[in-house]
Amino acid sequence: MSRLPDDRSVRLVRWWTRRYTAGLDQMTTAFRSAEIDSDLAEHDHFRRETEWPTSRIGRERVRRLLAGVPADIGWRHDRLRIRARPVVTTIVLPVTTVAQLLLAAYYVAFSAYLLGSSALADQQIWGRFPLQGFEGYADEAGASGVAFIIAGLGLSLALAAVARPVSPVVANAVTIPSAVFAVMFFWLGVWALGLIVLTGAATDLATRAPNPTPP
Amino acid sequence: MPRRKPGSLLPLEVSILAACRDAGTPGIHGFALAQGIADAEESRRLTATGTLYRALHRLDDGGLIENWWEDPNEAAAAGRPLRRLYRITGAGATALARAQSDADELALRRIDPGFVS
Repeated sequence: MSRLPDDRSVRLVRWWTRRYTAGLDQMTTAFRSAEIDSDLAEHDHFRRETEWPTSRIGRERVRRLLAGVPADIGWRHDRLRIRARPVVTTIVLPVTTVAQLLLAAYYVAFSAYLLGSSALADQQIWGRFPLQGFEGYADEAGASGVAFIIAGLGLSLALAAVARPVSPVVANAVTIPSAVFAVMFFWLGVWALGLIVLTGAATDLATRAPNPTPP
Repeated sequence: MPRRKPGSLLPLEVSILAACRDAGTPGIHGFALAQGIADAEESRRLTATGTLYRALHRLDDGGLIENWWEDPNEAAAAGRPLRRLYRITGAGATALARAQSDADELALRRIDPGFVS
């Protein structure tokens, strides 16, 4: 049997193989390329035995290539998913889920505190009940509000530090709301933005859940 | 596109498993499988490269076939690129038998709608 023929259609197949294996790990790329080279050589040998002319073999080669392009892209997607799955399922998900839950719990507590201290500062709760003699508590609420912000920042950054070696994306999702904490005390619009970012981070985690693969 | 039922096989996967089973050699390479499938279906067209190898890898990931690379000395002696060889596993043989039995039952139902297995 001869080695790979030097033909335009062979070059096209090999070029396409390099394209759809780009960025995958070296072993996967090498195995796929070797497998395709083997297929090209076997195909050439088989058709030459049946006395097909070179041009006809080339046309069949291109037809097999083009008809298989969607599957090649799907194969690449499969490889990327398989490569990502063990990290997501065994390490990232539990750590980041716990991180997000802690952060969300803190966020809810802080939001409740923010509303409460705001009501105390106005000496009213929901604008209906005057609270005489609570002025001192409003000052204390302001001081403990700063403590809340510092504690929240510390918690968020610690969680981000834990998540970063495993998944930089999730670490960023944790860090962004923590940055929002610092300013939300002064601006309610940023508080709403923080909620949106947290929801986005939670959605991101949910979509990272592994999909079952048949069969 | 609807997701397929877990454990079910695509027609091409059934053809691949059947070709692996019928090969009668310790292992069969990808292009020989394409030939075997074309012969079995009495088709002149060979399965598209991407379609064939994606299906092979899917079956391999599912444990229905196993693969290994042939001895490099053998390939060098024959003057050709290294072959990746495939073989059906026990789980693959079971899945193939089930798929073929389901197909037979479906065919019988088409002939006789009152058929009960």
